[in-house]
This record gives sequence, C-alpha cells and structure tokens, in this order.
Amino acid sequence: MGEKTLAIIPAYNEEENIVSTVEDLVANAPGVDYVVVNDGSADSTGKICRDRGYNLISLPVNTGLAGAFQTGMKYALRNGYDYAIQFDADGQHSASYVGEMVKTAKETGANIIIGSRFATQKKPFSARMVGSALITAMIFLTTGKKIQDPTSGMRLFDSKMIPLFARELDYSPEPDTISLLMRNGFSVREVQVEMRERVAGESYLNFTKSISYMLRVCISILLVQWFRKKK
Amino acid sequence: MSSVFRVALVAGAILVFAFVLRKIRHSEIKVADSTFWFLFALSFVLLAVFPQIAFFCSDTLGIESPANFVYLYVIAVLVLHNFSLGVELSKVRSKLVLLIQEEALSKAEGSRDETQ
Repeated sequence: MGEKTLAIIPAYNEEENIVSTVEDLVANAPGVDYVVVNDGSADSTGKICRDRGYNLISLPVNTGLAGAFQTGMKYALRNGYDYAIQFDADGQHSASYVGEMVKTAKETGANIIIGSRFATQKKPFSARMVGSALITAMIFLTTGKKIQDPTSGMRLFDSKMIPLFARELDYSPEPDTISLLMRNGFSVREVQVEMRERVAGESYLNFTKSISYMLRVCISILLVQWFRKKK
Repeated sequence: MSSVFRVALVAGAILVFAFVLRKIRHSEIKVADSTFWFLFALSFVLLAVFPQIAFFCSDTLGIESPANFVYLYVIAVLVLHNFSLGVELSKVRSKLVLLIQEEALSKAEGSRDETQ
C-alpha cells in the first residue's frame, strides 16, 4: 500500500442512495478515503451527510457533474492524493472493485483505469448499448484503441491526471475527454467490474437527453478533440 | 438559388468551421457549445449541396425565392439560439446572486445554510 486514494462522490439529490454508497465504500474499500461533493442538492443529501459525519464538501449552487467532480479533483490535488476515483452516488458502482483498480494502476502504470462492465464480459447487443458501441467505434477510429465501456463513470485517475482535471476548465469526466487524453499519449486500461442497476431516484438521462448527449460526444470525439492544444 | 449563392453558402460554412476550430484550439469555447456551431455550419453545406431542400420549403411556404427561405431559416435558428442563451444567462445570474449572498453571509456571521 502506501498510496493515497480518494473516492470522489458527486451527489445531486441522492438522499435515498448516499448512505448505502458511503457505507459500501467504508466497508469494501477500507484503505480508500472518500469525499461527498454535494452539488447544491435541494433534498436532504447534505443534511444526511452532516448528521452522519461523512466527509463532505457542499457546493452552494448546482454546477453539474463536471463541476462537482472537478471540486473533488481540486480537493485531491490540495491534499496530495496519488489516485482519485470517480464513484457514483446512486449505488450503481461497487466499492469492492476499487482496490483492484488501484492495484492495476500501480502494476501497469496506466494513467486512467476504467471500471468496465465489458472488459472480459461481452457487451450485449441491445438498444441501450448501441450508443456505447458507437462511442467505442469512434474512439477506435481516432486512437486505434478499443475501450469497451467508455461511458462507465467508474474511472480512476493517477497523479499525472489529477492536476489536469483540477485546473483545466474543459476537462469533463466524459468519453470525449478520455479520447483526447489517449491521443495525447496517456494510457487507459479497463478492469472488469460489476455494476448494479439504479436502486432509487431518477436517472439524469431520458431519450432526448441521450440523443443530444450522443451527438455532442460524437462531434467532440471526431472533430473537436483533433484541434485542442496539448496541455 | 444561383450557383454563386450556393458556393457562398459553402464558403460561409467553412468560415464558421474555421472560426470555431480556432476558438477551440485556444480553449476559448467549450466543446459542448461548439456543437451548435458545427451543426449550424453543416446545415449551410447541406442546403448548398441539396438545393432541392430550399426549393421544396420555399414552394411549400409560398416564398418566391429559395434564397429568401435560406435567410428565413438562418434568422429562425439565430432567434431560437438567442432565446436559449437568454434562458441560460438568467440561470447563471441566479446562481451568481446565490453565490454572492452565501459568501457574504458566511463571512459576516460564520453562518452556513444548514437547511439543505
């Protein structure tokens, strides 16, 4: 061991899931610190965390996933963490895999580890997975590498990545950023994990949002990311 | 729509592309915002390459010249974009006010909003 790892839990209106998420981390990823980033939740997410003494950063205003995640990255940078992992507050991610992801990062020296549902298991050919397959194809086109689960939110970043995400303004935790980083020479590996279905509460994505998300990611990966100056 | 007009449309699209890409390169525009401009520029190219679109629409709407339809289209898109910018600006203003108030209150009494 010896390395410091931080689990960043961006949370927006997750009063129904936040307790089980934090308890999962505490129980199944014992060497890993965590911080809940309350993204201006209107429900009692903040209050629940305070009452239970969870490590909490409360944003006074909602800024979205990218802003909340970046807050966590700033916290990681300021507190000298070696690894930072994005961990969903809704209970879909399984804390027992965090250790393995850190271990893989140490052994392979990869900059980004993606907790992937399809590293060793085959991606199902369904309507839901069409978007994922499309993004995989585009990343392959632009980088030559196959990422089977590019939209997985369970991503581990090493100490080279933390300052980048903490300081730069247009580094959202999205597949197109991953693609950009790969093209700039950083290494990405996938580790097989299991994810649960959302237990309670509402997902952010509906049909229209999914389409506009896909469109933006497509255009971003294929066109835009070619032109960004390397940092 | 004359050939000159169509070439002008494509030239306009290329200019918009080039301008947006330059802004992206210097990190002056967020990737998400650039999506709109790319699609907008792409629509110019589509209208130029497939003039039948403008012919069909102008006939249906009773507009005499297809070029006039193109103008109408551009104006409509810009009006909608302008409107959505206004909405976004409103949101940003509200957030800013909230932030200013929170900061001032925190400093004044060491108080924090514990109701959330």
